[in-house]
Amino acid sequence: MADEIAIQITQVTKFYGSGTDSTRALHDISVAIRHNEFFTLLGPSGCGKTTLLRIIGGFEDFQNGEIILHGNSIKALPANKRPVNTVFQHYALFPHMSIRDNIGFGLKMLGKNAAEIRERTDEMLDLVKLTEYGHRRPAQLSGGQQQRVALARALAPAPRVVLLDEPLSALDLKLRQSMRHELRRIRESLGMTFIFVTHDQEEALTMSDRIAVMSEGELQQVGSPEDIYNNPANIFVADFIGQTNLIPGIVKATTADAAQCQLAGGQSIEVPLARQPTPNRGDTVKLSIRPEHMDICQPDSDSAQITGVLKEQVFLGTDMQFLIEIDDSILLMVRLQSTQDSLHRWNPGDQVGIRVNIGFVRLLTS
Amino acid sequence: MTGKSQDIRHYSGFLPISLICLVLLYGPLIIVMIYSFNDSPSITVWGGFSLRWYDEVFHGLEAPKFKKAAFNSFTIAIMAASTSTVIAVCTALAMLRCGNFRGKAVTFGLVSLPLMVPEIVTAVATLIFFSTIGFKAGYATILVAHIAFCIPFAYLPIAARLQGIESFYEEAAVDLYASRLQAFFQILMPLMLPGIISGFLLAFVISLDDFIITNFVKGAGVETLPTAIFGAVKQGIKPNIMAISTLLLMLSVIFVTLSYLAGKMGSRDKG
Ligand SMILES: Nc1ncnc2c1ncn2[C@@H]1O[C@H](COP(=O)(O)OP(=O)(O)O)[C@@H](O)[C@H]1O
Ligand SMILES: [Mg+2]
Repeated sequence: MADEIAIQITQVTKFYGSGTDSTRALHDISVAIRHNEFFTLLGPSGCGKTTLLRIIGGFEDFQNGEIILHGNSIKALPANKRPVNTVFQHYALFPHMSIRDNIGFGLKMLGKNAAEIRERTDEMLDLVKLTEYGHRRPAQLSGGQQQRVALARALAPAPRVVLLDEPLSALDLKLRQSMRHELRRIRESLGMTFIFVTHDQEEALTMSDRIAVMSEGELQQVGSPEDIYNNPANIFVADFIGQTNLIPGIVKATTADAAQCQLAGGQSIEVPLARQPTPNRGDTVKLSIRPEHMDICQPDSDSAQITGVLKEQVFLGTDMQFLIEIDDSILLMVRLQSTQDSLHRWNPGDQVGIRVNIGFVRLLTS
Repeated sequence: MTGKSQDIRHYSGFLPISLICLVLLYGPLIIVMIYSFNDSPSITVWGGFSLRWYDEVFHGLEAPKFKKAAFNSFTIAIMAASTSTVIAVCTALAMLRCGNFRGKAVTFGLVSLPLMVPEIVTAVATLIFFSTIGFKAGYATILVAHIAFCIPFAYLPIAARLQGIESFYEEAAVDLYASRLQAFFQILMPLMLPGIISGFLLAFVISLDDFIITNFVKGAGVETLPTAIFGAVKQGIKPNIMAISTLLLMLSVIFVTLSYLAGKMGSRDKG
């Protein structure tokens, strides 16, 4: 039953406040989250991720829509009756309780007996590798350890769905990276549905089975990390996920499998349509070309599809980044691996050609 | 922090003004304390160290009167502080945890008004109220009046504490299947406890010390320590009054210190 739906969200709309000073936090959100999936809500700050998570958790009401958990509507269920647990952004560990009591709290509230609670707490402490810390208070643990306690506390009652609101954002970079692996490992070993919120696209890309990209309360695209990265549904997604060049252009002609596009500066490029919808002739579009999908060559070489002037090159460690101006109007960013060759081959002011891996170019209209 | 010129001690006149304030505030108290150990029956001439006035307080002629008054004071203070603390906790929860409701600002005004209204006005008003409804003056009227005017004193530290507790603790509890009641008793109340203790102790001291309102509503025959002391002083100040005052002062200092420490206690184990 790998494709069983854990949570079905249908046309959820949410306004904060009422009357004239109400803010629309969510608009017509519909998404199905599969059982056992690591599902990420990704979007810039203020786009409504926390609101959606709190609606699933039962902490916010909403004006319109429906939420089905494993076949049953949970719209009318209060938060303490939903088989859903949350890892809060600031952990919200109970400061007056030991780590063990924190982890066992959910089971205690569910009325489990002491032996069962003890056994499960041991199991959870082991899972998050904090066995020796059970008797400490939260304040006596480091940020990373508190984070793992918060996770263990949410997992202990074996909820059907775990909600995680930017759980890694308070950690420093090193810890954040190791916690990514930890989270994946733990989820895989337990087989639970995780709904994970982040504004960090790298976090989303590396951890998720599927990602929902949100902006201003609306769902922009839902798909696998590769899908979102390589086939962004619109300009917002292309721009938000990774880095890309968005070049204004006009569709001059289309055939069954390619579109002839004229760039703003006047040069033309042919874009294959195998993996994207066919635009109309005359459409104004943005061509999304990722910096790593281009290569620099001699301007008069046969493989040069566009030519321009090298403005600037920046050494980034493993990569070199080049800024190339086309027709005095468009700046293109190109990224190559730093080899001896790419380091010294061109100088600012040089006329250069650009070879585009056109299979990855996307024509976006909105 | 940013340099010596910011330090208040560098303003000219800081030292003399501070000294004057301290002497005016604490000088009389210290003199009372010192003279409570005076061996002489005079209240102005030092006659050597002695504990005779303390002995007099507990075993002298007036001892039964003071003991009765002390009993009244303590029982009233405990009941008034307990009741007003419970009311203050409920009020704080309503004010800070139940969103916006109509009359919230008015409620806050009503809760804190007794702190601003001259006590004599409250005293007269309370007296008129009791006589209007025909409530016979005595122990019960003192208790009711004390409960009422202790509420704002209990409320302030409790509300301050509750304000500092993020709502995500209760949300986490509810998320982990606690009912609202369980979330309150298992999570919120323990977190509020320093504020609750602090509020209780403050209310206790306020009740114990109160003179004006008590004097108005007490009726004949029922005395609390402050009214008993006042009654005794009217017949001339004897050193045993100083001894009682010193004992009362010590008690207040202890309770206020405990209240302060209770308030501090929480900020240590938070976060
Ligand atoms: N309690 C609230 N009252 C009013 N507006 C809110 C409240 N919480 C969030 N909002 C607004 O709703 C929008 C979405 O917020 P949020 O869900 O917290 O975004 P995110 O988690 O993606 O940063 C924002 O515009 C925010 O200002
Ligand atoms: Mg958020």
